[in-house]
Amino acid sequence: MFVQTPTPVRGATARQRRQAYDVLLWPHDVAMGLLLLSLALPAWLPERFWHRPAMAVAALAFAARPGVRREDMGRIEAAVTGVEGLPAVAEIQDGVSAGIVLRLLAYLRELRPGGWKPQLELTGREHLERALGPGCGALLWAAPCIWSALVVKKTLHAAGYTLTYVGNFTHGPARSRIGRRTVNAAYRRIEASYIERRLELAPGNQLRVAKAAEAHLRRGGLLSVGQHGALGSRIVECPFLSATLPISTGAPSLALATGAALLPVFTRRRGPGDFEVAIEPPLLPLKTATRHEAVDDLARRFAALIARETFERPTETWAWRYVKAKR
Amino acid sequence: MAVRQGEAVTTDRAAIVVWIDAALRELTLAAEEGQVGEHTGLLGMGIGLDSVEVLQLIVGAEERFGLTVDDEDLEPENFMTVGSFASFIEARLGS
Repeated sequence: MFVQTPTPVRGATARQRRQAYDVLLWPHDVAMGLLLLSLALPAWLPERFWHRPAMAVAALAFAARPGVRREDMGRIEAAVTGVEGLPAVAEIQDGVSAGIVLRLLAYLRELRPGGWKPQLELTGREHLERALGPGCGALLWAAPCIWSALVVKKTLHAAGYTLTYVGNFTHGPARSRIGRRTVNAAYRRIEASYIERRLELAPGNQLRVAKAAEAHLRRGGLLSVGQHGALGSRIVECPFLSATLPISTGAPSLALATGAALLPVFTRRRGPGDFEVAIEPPLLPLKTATRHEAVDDLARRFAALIARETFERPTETWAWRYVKAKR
Repeated sequence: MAVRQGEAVTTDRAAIVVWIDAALRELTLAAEEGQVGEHTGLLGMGIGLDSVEVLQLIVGAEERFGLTVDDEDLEPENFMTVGSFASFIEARLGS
């Protein structure tokens, strides 16, 4: 595993250290620990009984942190203003929160002997098969769906694919150093069962990770990169419903540099324990005057696909967390 | 560009900066000649290259100047500006 511990941020304010995930322990993570303890028993129930405990725990979590709920609802509101056909902001927020708790339950169930065994369907497989060939790699660009992190890996593993995954050192629900070494480490161990290799992005190592990812694609490998907020050296602010969504250029840039197919991937929960991982047709780069124009165009088209998906399944996406109101 | 005189390769900093300018245009990362200077941002600022684009520049420098850039050298601060990249190339040519 290619894993590097992030460099501590020296001389930073407490807020900066929290934002850099460099605090030893944080109230958010203490609350996360209590949340996980409260879910330990429901995780043993059949999945069709998870919804009510998930709604109850989500409601409690927000009751304890009303400021967070207001911020989240503000972002959703900025994105849906003037957009018809979507549920009310509060309904979207409640659904997303319940989805996040359901996902925690799935990770807890993975720790049980036998693990978590949902129904998993891979659709659009033909796009992946066409993309993979001698010396031709494929890059799965995972949209910010709540269930992507675990379900995409499980589904591809079950379908017989060997996956290398580019993740961030902040991956997981915890933000403090203790939380990252305990809760987030457990997340990584669970997911590691389904992948061959993890390339972990941390402050200062992005060039080495990019080099390893590029080499993997040039060898004809399958790489997965998740789109989560404004992480990366270059970000494109893309139109997203009534707001904008930051899209990192790493994935399209890698695809352009290596000739690998760039395949958007969406994860859909069809019901308790029933999931679809949908691979979309490849995003093909346009011929443009500059490389940045080509990359930006790919980013905008991916954002448009995320917007379509969000409109159809508004409670299944993390995208609300990253949207920004248009200025 | 490095000026070849017989078998010897002479470089000066200005020539390295000129090469970086040309390389950026060849990679269609900068549209106009003479757009870059010592303080022009590269990785994540100024021109705003991402990591993959910086790697392409590094590969170009390896080919042009006969350098070998190891993984240990891939520290972001070496590639934040044209000036820092030029210093990086100079240091490796001098060693």
